[in-house]
Amino acid sequence: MVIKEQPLEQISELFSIYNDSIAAEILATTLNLEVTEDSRLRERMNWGDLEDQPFNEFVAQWERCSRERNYQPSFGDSSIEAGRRIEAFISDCYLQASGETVIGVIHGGVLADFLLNVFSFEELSRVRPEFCDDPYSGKVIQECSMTTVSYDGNRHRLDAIGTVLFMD
Amino acid sequence: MIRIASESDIAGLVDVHVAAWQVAYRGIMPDHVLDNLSLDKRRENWMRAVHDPNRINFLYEENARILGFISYGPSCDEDANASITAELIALYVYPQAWRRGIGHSLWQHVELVLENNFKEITLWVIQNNHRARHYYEAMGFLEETGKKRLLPWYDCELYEVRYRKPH
Repeated sequence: MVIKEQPLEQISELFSIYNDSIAAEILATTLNLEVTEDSRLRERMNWGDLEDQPFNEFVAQWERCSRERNYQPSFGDSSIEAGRRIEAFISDCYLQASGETVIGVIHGGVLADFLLNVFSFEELSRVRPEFCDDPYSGKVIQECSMTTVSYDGNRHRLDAIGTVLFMD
Repeated sequence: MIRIASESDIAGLVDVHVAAWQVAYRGIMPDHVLDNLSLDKRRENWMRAVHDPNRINFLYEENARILGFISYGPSCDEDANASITAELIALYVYPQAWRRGIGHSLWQHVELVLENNFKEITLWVIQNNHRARHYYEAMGFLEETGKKRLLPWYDCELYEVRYRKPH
């Protein structure tokens, strides 16, 4: 795997929810970096976190969270709260590694939560028009795709959503 | 619009299911089977499906008409660990609405939850259903060696093969 658009020496840190994430492991090997675990990168909700929760109830709550972004599921975070975790993560990265590039390996749902928190539909549509059709589908934020956001301590700038061209 | 199917959608789901079978399986299943599919049986099956806690059914609706559906859930295969393996149980689109990307939209809608919560996804497809097999292969599924079973339906000798999509 080769990251074409970002010089390797500019990537300073690699974060993931799990140290054994396959994507994080591949990136760690490629970039010669250690993976730092950060629980803020976890998904909005996961099936199995709430003991004995039927699968259909989990999916129904997931769907409701996606439609009503303030809805609090019986276990996990609302879409708004989940997105705020990523906002806090990026803010801390800025404070600790200002000017450097950091990779966070995260799930697609919480990434969409963050994007919807921070950017307007107009900004999202400008970068990837189809994202707003169904932000929580695999249509744009595909597995192992890359979304690029810049942060100057005050404002976020959206550079790309769901890029897959960076991998060979 | 894609949404979770409920009991009130059963009539529309049966329409899609029967119409899709009659076109997709023509030449694969005997004509007398396809021409005499029991709507009552289908309704019974759907009544169970929409109330099954381990099965999720999403439908694609356009102008208040159901044009397709996708069903999935934790795998029930004997050799599967249901906490890490999901099964794509069904993906059907009304024949007149084929080639409009409806099946792909349904798949993309469920893909995120599947990939977040399971390590792999399997499906069973009729061995002679080459159109469906090509479709699933394009979605990234790979045929599993040696995974084959005889369908217990309608006294016709049909085999299914299993596909798997790791991620």
